Amino acid sequence: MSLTALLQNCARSFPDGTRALHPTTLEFAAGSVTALLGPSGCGKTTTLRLLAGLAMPDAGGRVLFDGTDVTGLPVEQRGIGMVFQNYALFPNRDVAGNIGYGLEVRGVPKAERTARVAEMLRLTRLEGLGHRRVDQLSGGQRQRVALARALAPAPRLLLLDEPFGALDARLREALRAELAALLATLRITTIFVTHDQAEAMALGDQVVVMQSGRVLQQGSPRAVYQQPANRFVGQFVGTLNHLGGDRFCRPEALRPDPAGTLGGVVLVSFFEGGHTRLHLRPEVPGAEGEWVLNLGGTVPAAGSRMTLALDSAAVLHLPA
Amino acid sequence: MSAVLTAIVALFLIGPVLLSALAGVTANWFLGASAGLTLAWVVKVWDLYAHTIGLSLWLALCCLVCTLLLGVPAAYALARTPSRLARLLEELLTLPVAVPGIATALGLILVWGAVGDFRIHWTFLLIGHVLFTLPFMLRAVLAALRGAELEVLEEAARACGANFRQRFLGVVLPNIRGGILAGALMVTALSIGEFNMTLLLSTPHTMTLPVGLADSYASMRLEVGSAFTLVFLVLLVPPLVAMQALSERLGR
Ligand SMILES: Nc1ncnc2c1ncn2[C@@H]1O[C@H](COP(=O)(O)OP(=O)(O)OP(=O)(O)O)[C@@H](O)[C@H]1O
Ligand SMILES: [Mg+2]
Repeated sequence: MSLTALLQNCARSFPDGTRALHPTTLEFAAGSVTALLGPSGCGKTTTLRLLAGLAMPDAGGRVLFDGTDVTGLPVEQRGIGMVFQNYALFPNRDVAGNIGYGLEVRGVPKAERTARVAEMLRLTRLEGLGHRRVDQLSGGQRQRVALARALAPAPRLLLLDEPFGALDARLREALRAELAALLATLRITTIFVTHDQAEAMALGDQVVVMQSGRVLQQGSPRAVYQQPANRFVGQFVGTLNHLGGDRFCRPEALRPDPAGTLGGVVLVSFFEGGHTRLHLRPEVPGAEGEWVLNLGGTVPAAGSRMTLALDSAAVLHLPA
Repeated sequence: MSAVLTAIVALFLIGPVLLSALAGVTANWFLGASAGLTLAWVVKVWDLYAHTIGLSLWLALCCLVCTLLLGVPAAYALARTPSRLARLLEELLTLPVAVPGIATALGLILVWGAVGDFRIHWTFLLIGHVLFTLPFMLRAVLAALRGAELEVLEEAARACGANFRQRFLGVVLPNIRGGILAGALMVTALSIGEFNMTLLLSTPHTMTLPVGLADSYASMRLEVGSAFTLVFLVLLVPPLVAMQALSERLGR
């Protein structure tokens, strides 16, 4: 059903000299869900467009689907499904018309199309909205229509550009869980773009961290979090506490312990419901910036000194 | 205050036209309405100039078809060509408006005047009208193509598997219909009303409504010309208003 997608030595330059992507080789295994993660302008959309066939790699780059070279194949012949950043729903068609478009252009007979659209409406919980105009939908509904439109022709590769970008935080989380469930049933190779690390970790079984047109690390969310390739990756996928030199640790590697060897002064604390987030000024030679740690229960007041113990196995040695 | 001002401006604009139309139903304008009202002039105009009305409507229709068939694809091609030449062409689109219609007409006569009987065929006028109105169609459609994030919609259609024909007919055209309608309205109105260039291009065999109107004022009693104005207004204003309303409704 789903396919293995491979970007082989793909770079992308623009006429004005911008190198949106440096030569990159990336494999996306059949049935996997991969998050392309990175700050704005790092080349996430560019990578997605290369896979879609909406952009061509510079000479020397190749795009392979299941080992077949599709570099020269235009997007309409690649058999992919794509959700665009602002959904790009067709305003001249109603919800059902949007969802059925991919089937219509493939010449699927009316009866079969109607049945498939009804199935997609059910799958994306849009029942009863088939005849609604798309400009009369909420943001979350639009997102689901865009998803249903991409999925209706049963693509073997699903590409999503910031699928939750235009939604508020609460809705994002609800839809994220919904999409995760949907992807788990469909098992389509999925690649999605996000600059939200929590989203990348929650939804992806692979994360690709990018910066300035280069891939810094590809791996499982756990691997990327626990063994980041460098400081940038470590900081981007979570919080790093500097211990001096090239030594860092995650907030959860530090715990209050009267017998501990590290000290710090509480600067400020933020109550976040289940836990309280503390910012400390480290009293360790060479340690720069602030430390962050999350504590349950009551926390020391600002200005008080804390003694901390470090789980030495959790120390990360990160090059700049 | 502003209502009064609006009324004054409106009167200033349409007063002369209304007065002229009114003159068309007086038996004798110089004796005033006391001399009696009559439809005789209107009948006379109809007898003498009905063919100019027919030609003008036919010409406008053909001109509309030509500008649609030429203008919409050309505007699309222009909008999708990233080159500097395309941008320059877009700039040039405003030029024909600045060039006097008479210059264009003379050019056309120089090029085509000696080609058989073409000079006295109505299609000779059509060429002039298409030349004159095409830029208006192009600009209206270009504006629509630039808005409405159409490029992204097209990419979405491609990602759905649509080939060029499918996405042009199914996505591009429906989403720029407001611009196309606005352009169509403009072209129709301009073609029907065009006088400068048409005066030179027309012959006794090919006389349009505005040229006929000028002819009637020049060679008949004042009342006949005025009656012609009346016919012109009654025939053309309602359909133009209806088209405007339609285009606003469809264009949203
Ligand atoms: N048409 C273009 N011409 C020149 N440079 C471009 C063009 N499109 C993109 N770029 C540049 O390429 C780089 C990568 O762009 P890309 O859209 O892939 O970033 P992104 O990671 O998707 O960012 P964002 O999170 O803001 O969407 C950026 O520096 C951008 O300015
Ligand atoms: Mg982007």
